Amino acid sequence: MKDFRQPKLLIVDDKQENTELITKLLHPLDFEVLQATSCKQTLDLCEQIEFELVLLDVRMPVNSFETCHKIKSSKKNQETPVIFLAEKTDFENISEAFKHSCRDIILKPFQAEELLSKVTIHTLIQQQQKQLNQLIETRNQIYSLIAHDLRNPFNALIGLSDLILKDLNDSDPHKQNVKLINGISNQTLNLLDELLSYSRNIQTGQIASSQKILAKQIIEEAINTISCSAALKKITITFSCEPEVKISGDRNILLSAIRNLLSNAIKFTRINGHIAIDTKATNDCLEIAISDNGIGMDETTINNLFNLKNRVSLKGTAGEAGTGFGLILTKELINLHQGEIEVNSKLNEGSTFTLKLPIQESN
Amino acid sequence: MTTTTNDNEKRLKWHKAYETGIERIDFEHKVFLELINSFCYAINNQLAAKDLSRLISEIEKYAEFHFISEENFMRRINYPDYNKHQKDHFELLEYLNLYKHKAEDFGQYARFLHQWFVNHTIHEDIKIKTFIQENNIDVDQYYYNLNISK
Ligand SMILES: [Fe+2]
Repeated sequence: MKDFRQPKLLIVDDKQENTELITKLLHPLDFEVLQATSCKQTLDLCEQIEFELVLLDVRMPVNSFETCHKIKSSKKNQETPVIFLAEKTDFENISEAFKHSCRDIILKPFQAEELLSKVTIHTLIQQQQKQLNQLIETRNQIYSLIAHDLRNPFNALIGLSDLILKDLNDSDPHKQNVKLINGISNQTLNLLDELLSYSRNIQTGQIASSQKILAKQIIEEAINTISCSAALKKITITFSCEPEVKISGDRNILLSAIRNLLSNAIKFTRINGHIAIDTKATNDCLEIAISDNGIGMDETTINNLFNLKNRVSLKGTAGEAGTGFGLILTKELINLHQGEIEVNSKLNEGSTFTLKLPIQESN
Repeated sequence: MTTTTNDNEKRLKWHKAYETGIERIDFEHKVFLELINSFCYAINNQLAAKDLSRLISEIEKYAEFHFISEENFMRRINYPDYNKHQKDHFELLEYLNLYKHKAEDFGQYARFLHQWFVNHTIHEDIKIKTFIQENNIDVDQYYYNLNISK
């Protein structure tokens, strides 16, 4: 997918001689070059046109750093790179420019080749960035479309097989097969849902909302949601946490991450096993360690745990099925919160998953 | 300014009016004037455009050097018009850039350079001299004089 659109470039300088000179020098590039000689003119243009690159003179009647900030606040040019133009001896503005996240600086007097090369390369990067974003977006859309469209048939399969199961006697020879259909359908629906939230949460790379959350509260909530399946396997859970520690992030995302790790622990712990959740607050992060005395993992399994390519799906101790997406998803969710996951495990002894999340300073 | 190789008469000469009385600044100004002369000398000796461009870089670099030097001195003596004067220097670098790319021939660039030098020196740099005199500033206390034997 190539963008054949002619790149648009904006040159801003209060001296028209300068904008004209640069326009002339850039002529061989065959860009669409627009000129502005005031802040107002610049912002008007930025409201209407999406540029691939802006060249902005650092000494203008209106503070150029504010102009730069306003360019980046315009809807169409939030991602547009800005290159400042400054005189070689203007040390104050040069260092200031880099603080304002400018892409690059062209120092006057410059060489024509230098100008051409910098403009070309930054325009190219910007175009590639846009293409990349477009590709990712398209892929995400396809991803969620597929997942959405597949969801309905599986819901139907589950519903219908539930109905049949209700009517069938235990002695019926079909009962076992219908149960299988029902089980596989449920499992596949789970996979689809995980894929869906994966594409929603991860690829946008955004946390929908960020709140201050009491660590103790959210962990207890997660324990509550899985207590049933723990009880079924007669697994005991112990939990300790300082009452005041706060973490920050999206409540639902963090909850699902912790829940994911807990159901994993249950899945790989034998009947009558034990799970311990211990928390430790260090200077700036909270460690939540979820340890079980279950079946543990060998080194190969640990190494492939977070690998999308060599995704491993392991059956639980009671035959619980998995999708192999759960941990990958959890890790991504935690990374979104500037957190980390650490794994320690020994085959036949158990596993410890440690979540490290930044602590929210309480005021 | 149509100097020929042997025409010493037409060289740009130092003028009393350029003198700021600040030894080091005057010295640097003289070097600058001589750089313009050496550029004209090269034009008249029909140096290749590529070599003349390198001489332009030489002048640009010296202009940068001298401006920083002069600005550092102005800062030392708390020169009240520092910002305006520094802005003038920025503008010159900006114009040097414009003329370098715009000039139809190198002679035009040299004429611009000379004109700017005279204007800036007799109008702006001379104001530093006035400020020093009016405030009885002992320059030697603030500005190290380059100790260059002739
Ligand atoms: Fe000066």
